[in-house]
Amino acid sequence: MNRSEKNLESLLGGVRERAWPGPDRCERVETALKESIMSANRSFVPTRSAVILVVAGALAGGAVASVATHQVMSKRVLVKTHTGEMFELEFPEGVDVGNAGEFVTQDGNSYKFDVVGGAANEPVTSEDDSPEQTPED
Amino acid sequence: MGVTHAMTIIRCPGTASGGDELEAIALAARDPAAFGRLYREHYPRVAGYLYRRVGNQDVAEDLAGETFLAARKAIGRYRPTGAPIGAWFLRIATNKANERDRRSRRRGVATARVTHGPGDNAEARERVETLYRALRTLNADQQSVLALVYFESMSVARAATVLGVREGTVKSRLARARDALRVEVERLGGKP
Repeated sequence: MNRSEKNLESLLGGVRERAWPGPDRCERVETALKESIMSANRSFVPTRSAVILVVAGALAGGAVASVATHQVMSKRVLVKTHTGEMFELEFPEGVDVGNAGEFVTQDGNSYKFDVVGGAANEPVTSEDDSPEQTPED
Repeated sequence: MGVTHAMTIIRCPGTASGGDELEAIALAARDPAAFGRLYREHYPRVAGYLYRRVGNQDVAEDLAGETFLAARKAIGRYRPTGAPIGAWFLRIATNKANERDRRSRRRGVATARVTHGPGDNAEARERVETLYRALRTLNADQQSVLALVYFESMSVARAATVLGVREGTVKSRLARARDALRVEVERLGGKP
């Protein structure tokens, strides 16, 4: 390998070592995905509402472990409602005690939830005490 | 008076990285949240590749965003080739970088300045800038093959998979690109 070739190898090697200096997420993509998720949810018509207390467990890294109430780190939880249906809730920004929100199922049921703490695989109870809503038609 | 129902929080299924990738891809085609998991897993790799390819952080970030937005639209038409999904993302990223390069040439748009790290000294900055000035004189296909093989340390076979061409094509493009780059670096006075 002559001097010119060595020089080129050295320059190429310098670029190889340039690590990505930016963030691990793209704001444009994150926004587009959130809009897609919200748009999909808006296509369902809520007919019934129920208040659900979601107990989120620490699932980071796939580990299932008992955790203190205030160490909730999960971004996704599976919820089984009183009808036996299972839903996966995604929390793009993480989830912690005090978070609240609403999700709407394909059959039109609307569930409000409040994260109250707890551990993974831990059965909890929820109170279904909100008034029945009738469809607008 | 409220009625009390049992509710169970159950451990979530694994992400695409260790499980059935095809299943994850099929799910991502239907579910934006599932696509989000794939994107988050692959974004740093794709952004890093584009950064090394174009030399500028802002341009790389823009192209990486375009890559995943395009992938989101196209993933329903994804057909498995035996290569991991990461190769498909890199292929889209390569196409985006090539499109931008060709568009800039047509319009005579000045290329973005090279991004330097805070620890780069003057000599290192000069060497990197020389390399990128030389690189930008090559055509988009030549830049792509150099970036994949030299910057990303890919084998010829892997680069061929990403680019969707034969290995022989990669080898011949690589040889021509390397010769052209060496000549241009010498012309620009790049020092060893």
